[in-house]
Amino acid sequence: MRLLRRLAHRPTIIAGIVIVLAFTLVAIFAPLLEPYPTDRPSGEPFEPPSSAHWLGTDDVGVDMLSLTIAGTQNSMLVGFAAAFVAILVGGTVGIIAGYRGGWSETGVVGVTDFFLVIPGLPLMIVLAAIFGQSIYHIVVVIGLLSWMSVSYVVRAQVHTLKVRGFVARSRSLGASDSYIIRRHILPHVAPLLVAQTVLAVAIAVFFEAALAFVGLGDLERISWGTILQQAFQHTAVSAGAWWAIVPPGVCIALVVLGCFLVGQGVEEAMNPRLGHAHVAPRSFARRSTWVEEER
Amino acid sequence: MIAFLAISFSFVLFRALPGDAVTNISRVPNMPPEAREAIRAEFGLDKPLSTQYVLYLKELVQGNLGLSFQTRQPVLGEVLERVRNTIPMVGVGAVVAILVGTLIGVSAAYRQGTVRDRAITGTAMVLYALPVQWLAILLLVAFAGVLPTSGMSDPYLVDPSFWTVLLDRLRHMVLPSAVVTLVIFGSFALVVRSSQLEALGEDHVLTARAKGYGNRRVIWRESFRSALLPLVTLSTLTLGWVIAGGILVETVFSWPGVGLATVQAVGGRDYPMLQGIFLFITLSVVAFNFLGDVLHAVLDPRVVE
Repeated sequence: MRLLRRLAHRPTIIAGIVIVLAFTLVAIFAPLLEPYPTDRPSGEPFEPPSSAHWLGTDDVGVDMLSLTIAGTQNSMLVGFAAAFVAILVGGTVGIIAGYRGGWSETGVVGVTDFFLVIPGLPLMIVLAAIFGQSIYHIVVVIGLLSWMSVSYVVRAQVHTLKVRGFVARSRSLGASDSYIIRRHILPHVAPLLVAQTVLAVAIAVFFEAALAFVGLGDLERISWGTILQQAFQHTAVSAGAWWAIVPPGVCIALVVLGCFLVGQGVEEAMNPRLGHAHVAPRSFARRSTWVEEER
Repeated sequence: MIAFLAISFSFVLFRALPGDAVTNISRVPNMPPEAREAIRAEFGLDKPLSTQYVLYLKELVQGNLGLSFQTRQPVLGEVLERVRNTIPMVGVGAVVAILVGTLIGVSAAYRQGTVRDRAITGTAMVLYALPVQWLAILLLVAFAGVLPTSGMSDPYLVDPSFWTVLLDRLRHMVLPSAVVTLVIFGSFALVVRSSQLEALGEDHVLTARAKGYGNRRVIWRESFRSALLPLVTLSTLTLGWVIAGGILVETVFSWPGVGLATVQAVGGRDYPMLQGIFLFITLSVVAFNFLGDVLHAVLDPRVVE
């Protein structure tokens, strides 16, 4: 609760939450919001924005606004689902490794380091090519390649929690490991998990668009990535139809930015030191310039 | 050690791919099974996996990455040629991003909390959040006609001198390199800013202030020296990433580098090529990480102990 109150004082976090929430709502109510069908043309090819088509039309005359809204649904779905996979794997691995220590920790650190070295996007491309082009495969591939940072952060946090007094106390009272993890460890890493989830959503949305752009997206579903890819493949560039290119990119950028703001804000609120570290140098910098001007 | 793991990992990974070269070539109708087996034997695909693995390791040591299914040329040569195309384009972009990002990050930290700082942080975050391919397409639309937007050189140059070729290359490089710079500059500005802020609060910086050193010396020689470590780490990570990171940029600008080769190899089911690229990228990331560790140890001797 105290954390929530501290969060409420930060305008950037509020902005981030509003952005993410707005896109989530659009994703949930997408079918109700689309003004035109997305499976057949409702105007001329590459119609510029007008009162009938607010964002114009694409290369076959499908309404861009409807496409963007439909894309929101699948992009956000991929984002949240992949983030869920990443958090589930990373969180479990991180908590167990941090709590148990010993060889399980050594093993986890090794595996994490190994995965961190493997370049993400090329591996995702290869894996997506192996599994085939389905939205579920994309979710799994992105999720399984972005859990490392979660486990890294969670493990470090659990490490410091493990040696705290309340954990030692409940252990001496005979509490089991699973009880300690549930009652003492999880509540303390929960805000961290929230921050990491939000960041993972951003990363997943980003990678979905990248995979779709190299032609590995789900061909059956419209997402921001596939809209961009279609626009690029189907002469939107040479037709100068910027309205077919701009909307999905703006959406991706907004969601990623919103997620960053929220994730960063939660981390800062949890670690207030981050917000204060600069106080001294700032006054120093100011004063010394002032002294120089005096001379 | 990690390099060996990566090599083995890529072997397993690429054996798991569905279909092999033969399924692709043997799409020819009415192909007799003997011919199919002959091709299979030619590529060594008829041997058991363990033999293939040993052979793979042995050949790899000798620098043999096999033949590309698409061009039937040695993979190593193909990959190296693509790398040669990628490095100048992405390298220039990355170096500019590191330099500009550092300068801007330091100046934002110095003026922490002011309008300028907020403007810099805001811009950096927005650039950081932009989808790479989207930014590239927008630049493509904006500069179509002004600058070349596709490929690496002009095929219609007649009997060009060295300087025209160089100029032509540079003109082709402007847009893709600019995208690379814009995309990674944000993270450098943000990281340098925050590490510089932290360093400005350290005791030795305070001491330097107390001694009456000027601003320039305090910022660059005292504070930036401490803030250098995260910058070095990020730089080596980025440079390792750089070789792979051109994938989206190269796709948009049809730049014949490693990234475009990856996409083409996926499309053409060219597994030896894909494997070669993947190995090369992984090893370069490992190499740059190692370089980062070494530099870290040089800059901060405490790390070694």
